[in-house]
Amino acid sequence: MSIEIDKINGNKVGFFRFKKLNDFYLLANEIFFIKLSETDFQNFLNGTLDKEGDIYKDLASKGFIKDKIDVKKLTRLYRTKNNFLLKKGVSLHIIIITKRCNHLCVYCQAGSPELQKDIYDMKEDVAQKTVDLIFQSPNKNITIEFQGGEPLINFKTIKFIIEYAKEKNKKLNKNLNFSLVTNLSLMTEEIYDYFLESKVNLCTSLDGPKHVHDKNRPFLNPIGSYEIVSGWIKKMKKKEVDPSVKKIGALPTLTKYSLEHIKEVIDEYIKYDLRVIHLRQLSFLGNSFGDEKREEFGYSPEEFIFYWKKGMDYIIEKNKKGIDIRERGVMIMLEKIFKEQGNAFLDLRSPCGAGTGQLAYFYNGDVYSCDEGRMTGNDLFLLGNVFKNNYEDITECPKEKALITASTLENFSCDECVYKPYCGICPVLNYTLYNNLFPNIKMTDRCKLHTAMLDYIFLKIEDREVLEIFKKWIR
Amino acid sequence: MEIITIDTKVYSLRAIFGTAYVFLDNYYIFLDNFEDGKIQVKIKSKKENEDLEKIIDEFKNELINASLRLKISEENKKIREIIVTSALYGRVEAPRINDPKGICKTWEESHSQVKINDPKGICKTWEEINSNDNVHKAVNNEILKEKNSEYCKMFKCDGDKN
Repeated sequence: MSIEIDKINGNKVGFFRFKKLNDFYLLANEIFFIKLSETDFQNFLNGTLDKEGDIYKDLASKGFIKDKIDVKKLTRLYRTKNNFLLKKGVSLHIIIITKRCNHLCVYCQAGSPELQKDIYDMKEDVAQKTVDLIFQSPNKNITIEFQGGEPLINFKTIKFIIEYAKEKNKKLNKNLNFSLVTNLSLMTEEIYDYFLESKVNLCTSLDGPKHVHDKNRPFLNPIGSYEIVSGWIKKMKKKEVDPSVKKIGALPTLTKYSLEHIKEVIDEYIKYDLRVIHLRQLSFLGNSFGDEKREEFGYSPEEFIFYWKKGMDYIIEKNKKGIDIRERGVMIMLEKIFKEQGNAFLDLRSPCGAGTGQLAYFYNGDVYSCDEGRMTGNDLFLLGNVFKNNYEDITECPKEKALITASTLENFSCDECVYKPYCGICPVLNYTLYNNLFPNIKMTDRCKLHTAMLDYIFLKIEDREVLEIFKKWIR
Repeated sequence: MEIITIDTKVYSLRAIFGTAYVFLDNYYIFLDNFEDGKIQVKIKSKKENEDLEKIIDEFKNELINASLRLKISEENKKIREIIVTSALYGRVEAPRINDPKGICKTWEESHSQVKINDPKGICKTWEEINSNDNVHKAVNNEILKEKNSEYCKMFKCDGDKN
């Protein structure tokens, strides 16, 4: 390809980032993307494109031709896509209701203490202060998510929080939602009915078929937990519930063993009519994930990408046969790529959601920037305590400002990457894995993973049938 | 180890550094002044016995990509700033909920004793300004006032009249 950089017409060629993918160039600005053949790319830069042609018109309507830019339209779209920057206050509030757990999962990040010691449970006074602090957030949408350990070990405090928050909300009238992440082992009919009545969205962990799930997620004794979780999923799926409440959602955590059985994992989700599966890489956070464990259960980003693509190909194949199963990570990226309003998923935005979109409240009242931050237990991500600080102290403290700076893509080589509009940085991962809030991003596992996923998406949508399937996923 | 010599009259230092950064994952790279107007890039593989010939070619191609990115970025700096500033300029739209007792007001709104004197509409939301079809003028007032601003040159407009 021949481009004379000095001859590029600065008044014609608008801003874009670009990458060569197979036989085409992918160009993206903050709002739109376009694919150009090598010849068209060259003609675009040299100013020799046919002005009456479709390619020129497409480039012009998407803001790539400078003197044809509709500033007002691009401004409106930029504002819509980045609306999260304008929203006031944290909306996702994760409460670590207990640190205790009755499971001994091979990849556990939370590091469960002794089961008998209820000193690791959130007490009522801490819970009350936590809810008070949550309602100081000016955001009109408030989601309280219960996590653990296994949250149902401390059901009493969950119930207290739900009732107290509902009562408080009678005056404040916010859009209040609850969700709970549970292994379902302590679920009872009575508790389930209470959650349905309180419109609590439930999410559980299902790592795949019995041999995968039981290997990854045994009880402390250590018997596998598959029968219990799958039994509850079946029961919940059959239950007639208010359509505004999600019956049950599930997430797999993928170990090396899971990846080797990736198709079976996906089949298991299809079997239980769980239509969304999130094929996530292990985060390797937490005290309990040392080098030995990483060796035994972990994998390199390249290995993960290999199996992830295999899994995605299988999901697409199923969709082509009319089976509706979707991959959540891809769905989020597709929304960012195709939807005008984008997607403000906390992990894929600039800055990330730590302290701006979410806060995590530990059982003892400590407030962390995010769920990942509390998993590390590192003081860097500890922003305050519900007894000592108010919302403003926590969200405007110097540590929070450092996290915002460390997750703003403009600070990194990301600013030159064609995938910038669809990506995000996790400062907790960077600090934990690379001992640096500002590492060389291109060398991080997360960058390699996101690049591979986005390459896959942009290559796959060359196939019209796949494009239609992907569009259906986000309709 | 391989050495590439680059003429800084052709490629800017920023482009050279930007290119080197891309290769840090798999190679050790050192930049040094060779002679006036020339930079030497020393590349060593982190793997043993790797043939660096292909990497040298990749480096050269990436250098062109980096130069193109810089050129596009510099040429469009102003207009990107206009769009981002315009988009994020206004204060957040007030929540449209029934709030007769003002519970949902911000702390500043509830505690402020001072009525804001805002004859130029600076405190208006983006939506308020936009609804009057005036977003350009209100947000970019300062830029548009300058007859010779780059923006006006670009769009061949007369700053005062636009």
